[in-house]
Amino acid sequence: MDCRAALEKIDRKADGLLPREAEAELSGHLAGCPACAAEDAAISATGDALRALTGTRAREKAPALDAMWTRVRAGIGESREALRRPSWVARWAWVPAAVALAVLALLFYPAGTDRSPFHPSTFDVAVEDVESEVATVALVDKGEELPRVIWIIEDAKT
Amino acid sequence: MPRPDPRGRTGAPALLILLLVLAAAVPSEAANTVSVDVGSVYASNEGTSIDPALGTIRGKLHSMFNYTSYRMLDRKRRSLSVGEEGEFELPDRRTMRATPLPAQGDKVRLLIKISDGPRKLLTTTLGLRRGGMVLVGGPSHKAGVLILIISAE
Amino acid sequence: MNEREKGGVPDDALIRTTLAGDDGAFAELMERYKGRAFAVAVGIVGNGDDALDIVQDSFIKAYYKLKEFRFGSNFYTWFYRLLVNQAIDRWRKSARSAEVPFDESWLSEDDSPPDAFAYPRTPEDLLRDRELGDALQRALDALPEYHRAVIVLREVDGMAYDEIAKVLGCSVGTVMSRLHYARAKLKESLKAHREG
Repeated sequence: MDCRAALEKIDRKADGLLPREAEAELSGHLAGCPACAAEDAAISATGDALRALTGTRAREKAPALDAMWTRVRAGIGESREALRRPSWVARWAWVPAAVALAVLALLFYPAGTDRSPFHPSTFDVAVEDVESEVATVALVDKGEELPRVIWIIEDAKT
Repeated sequence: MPRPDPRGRTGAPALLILLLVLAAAVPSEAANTVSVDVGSVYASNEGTSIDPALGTIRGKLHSMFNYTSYRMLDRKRRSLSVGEEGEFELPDRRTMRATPLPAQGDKVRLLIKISDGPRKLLTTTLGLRRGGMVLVGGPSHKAGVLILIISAE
Repeated sequence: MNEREKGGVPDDALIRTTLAGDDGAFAELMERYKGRAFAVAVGIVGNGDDALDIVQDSFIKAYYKLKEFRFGSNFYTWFYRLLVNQAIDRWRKSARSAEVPFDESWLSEDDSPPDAFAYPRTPEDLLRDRELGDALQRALDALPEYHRAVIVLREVDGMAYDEIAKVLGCSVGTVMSRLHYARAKLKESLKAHREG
């Protein structure tokens, strides 16, 4: 086996796809070729490093992952509520209801509730001034990728 | 060919005409209006649910605070002209008033006042781009705190 | 490599029970795959908090799309397609940048922050070399999304080529070439780190 053939087989070996005979042949080549042996070791190390990286991240988040069903169940409940709407409302009452809402929206600008997810485009905020008559206020920055926070501390309760 | 249903679908075209007329009657003042969006979030250590409505900021809340549960209680959006004060009711009978101030380009300046009855908790002037977001938190709510997600378009 | 061989109720049975109205069956299905799902998600987006959101959203989506599942096929292949698409969408939408640097000032006793804020975590002791983890993460971030997905599904989840091809909707040949490319890029970054 030459080095070119060996390099082609190293990937497949990493994925456990080499037949036994081919693997034995490759091992023989690697034993006598430091360059190919180094390539084989590097490919293995890459997989090991990637698994270690994700493993570390998983350990950090283990408590949150343990509680994943609570989050999923809450999300299912939220979606279920949104879907639970009597069909007769959509079917029969939309015309007068839509007209009334259009008039109100355009004439009175009422506050409307909305459950569409937040998708901010920037957290770049300048706080020109800040004061409180009854509390201590703290400004917190934790980096450009996180929102700026104005924290109100009332009588050290929070 | 079947006879058309006399009850028909006359509602849809009529509504469309009505909306077009109403829309034409409203002057285009997009540059001088700001859409202020306020979400009220209850953060606590009761449970571990994260409201999916919080969208892409869920992970950021986790990174920033030690609370285990975040639930959106309410969300309100109002379009306000520059100089017009808009009032937003918050949980526990608190109130937020927002007033867009004059600003250049795609920037927005907001005067924000948050009060708890007669107590003025916060007065602040913020400068942000349209699409920007800031959090205001700390007032107690039940077993945790309120965090307001304020954004402007 | 699905979970039905591990004993217990097969995936198909849990799916049927869920569709019959028993959410507890879906909870069990979720428990089987959440760990692997998280590992794949975090490999693609590089961030634990985002990965948790992706796993949550993917399972919620799977719950409502369960009636579209074809019995006899693999649940995890079907689910992973949802998961990988969610992860890639999230990656595309996020303003991806370097991790927020560790701010030692939070540790100062003179500068104690309000209790509500998360204290900074101990720096990652990845492979006893944080810089190695950073180098690897940067190399992962630099890969095109589908190349990243391929190497994560193969190396982290241990998925076979044909299963990866089904998840990503491409041919086995494309999987192999993307895998080869991704491995080469990651290998280069690790080599550069060792020699640097």
